Amino acid sequence: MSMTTDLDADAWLDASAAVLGLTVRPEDRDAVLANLRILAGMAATLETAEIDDRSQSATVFRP
Amino acid sequence: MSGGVDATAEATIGIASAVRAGRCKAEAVVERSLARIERMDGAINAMTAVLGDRARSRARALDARIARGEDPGPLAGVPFAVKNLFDIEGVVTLAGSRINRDDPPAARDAPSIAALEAAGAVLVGAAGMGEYAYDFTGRNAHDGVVRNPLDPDRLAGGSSSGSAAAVAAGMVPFALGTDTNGSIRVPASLCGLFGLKPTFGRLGRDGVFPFVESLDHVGPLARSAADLAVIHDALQTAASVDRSHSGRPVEPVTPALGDDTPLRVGLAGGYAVDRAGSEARRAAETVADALGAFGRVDLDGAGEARAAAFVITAAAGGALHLDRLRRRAGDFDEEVRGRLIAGALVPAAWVARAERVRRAFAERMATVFERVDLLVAPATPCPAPLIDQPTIEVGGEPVPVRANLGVLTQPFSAIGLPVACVPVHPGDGGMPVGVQIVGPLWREDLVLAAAHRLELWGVATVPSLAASAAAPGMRS
Repeated sequence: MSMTTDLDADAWLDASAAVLGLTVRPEDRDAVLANLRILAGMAATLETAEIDDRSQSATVFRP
Repeated sequence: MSGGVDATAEATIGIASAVRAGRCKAEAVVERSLARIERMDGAINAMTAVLGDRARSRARALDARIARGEDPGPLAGVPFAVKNLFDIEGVVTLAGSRINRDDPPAARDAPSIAALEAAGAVLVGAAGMGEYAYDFTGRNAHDGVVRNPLDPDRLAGGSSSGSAAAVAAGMVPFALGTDTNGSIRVPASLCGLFGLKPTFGRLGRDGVFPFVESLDHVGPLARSAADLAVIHDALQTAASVDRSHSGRPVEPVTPALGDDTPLRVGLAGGYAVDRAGSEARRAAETVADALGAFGRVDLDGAGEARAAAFVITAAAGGALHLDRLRRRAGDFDEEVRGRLIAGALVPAAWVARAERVRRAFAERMATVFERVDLLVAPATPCPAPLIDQPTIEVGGEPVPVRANLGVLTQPFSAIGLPVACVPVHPGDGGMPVGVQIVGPLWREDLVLAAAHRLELWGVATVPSLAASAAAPGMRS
């Protein structure tokens, strides 16, 4: 299973919010879940991009 | 120039020229701006702070300098507003939020404000915006919706909503906004204005409340391309405490406006066509035809780049506001809260991949700009939606307005390219829609020269306030 198919957004929300010490109020839950699903769709699009191990990042640290 | 509004009285260069020549006083220009804000803003809701005393004092000082024979600067006496995420001395930097109202007032002006005032412009107020700049609509739960002056039942666009509405309503000749994913270009498109998103790293962002460090840009909205050029030149500095500033020397663009060197222009196809409605497509084709475009250029990878910008933005925004989300979730705008919480939960692996996809698109577009000087693309999928409209159509599917008005702007800001947004009117009295003129890195001169040509040819215009007085929002 890829990260973005058969998405269990509820489990994602509960696990990652707990890690961050973030309490999601019941009245906010549906909106957060909807946005997680949108983000998962964006991540699926990113998976289709042709990059390889040598592809560089847009973030470059210059001391 | 003391009585009614004429075309030169509305625009930045016209005002500065009149003040510099002594044909009118800066104080009179500022009083007219303040009076128009007082008269119109109840219906438009563009401004969150009006700085009457400060503006009058600075205008009088400017008039005194002119009386002494000193050079008042290229923006002499021109009133302007800034999005309320710019620091203004003595004013709380709201960033469109309720939470930041508890912050102390800013100790000093953002350097961009200081630079404009050093050039003679006069700050008259702070403009409303979408909460923490995470918005394309102009809706704000704390300050109310910013209405589109061309039709108050329609969205002004965001997140630089108040900046655009203030200019479109004639309250100020220009305003500063910021653009992370389209927040200058989207409201410019919906309000029928010229807007400039410079190359990433061209203008420093110190004194500006952040959103996404690797995507945030500062830029102006105005009534003409020439105005944008003069303002952009006044904003340029060779250095900044902002670590993202390029350190490039100041490269003035105003002298290049009259350059009539033939340009190789391509009309963005593929992604840009698929996500634009018929009005937006027609507007882009009109601009491309006028500029003599040779044909279509597919934006391979634009969808992936947009996804990258979307993920990076969500993650950076969620991380920036995480502590506030822990402590004061209920104080966020309901339309923003869920997006930021979800962003805080984004896996790091997605962000890392997004940054590599973004770089790959930048390299692909660099090869495109070996074949063309400029690309033309619609700025928004459609003209201004109605305020309570929940969805717009993108690619034949209804999608939420708030997250998708920027679907056409995001790929270009993701890789930092300079873009001028120009307003195109349909000719049937309908709402205008913006078209992006996209250039290679550091070539603001090219995008503004093309925008200026389109204006001279009557292809992209901001009608005078007198001519648009019949519009409901413009009655004063």
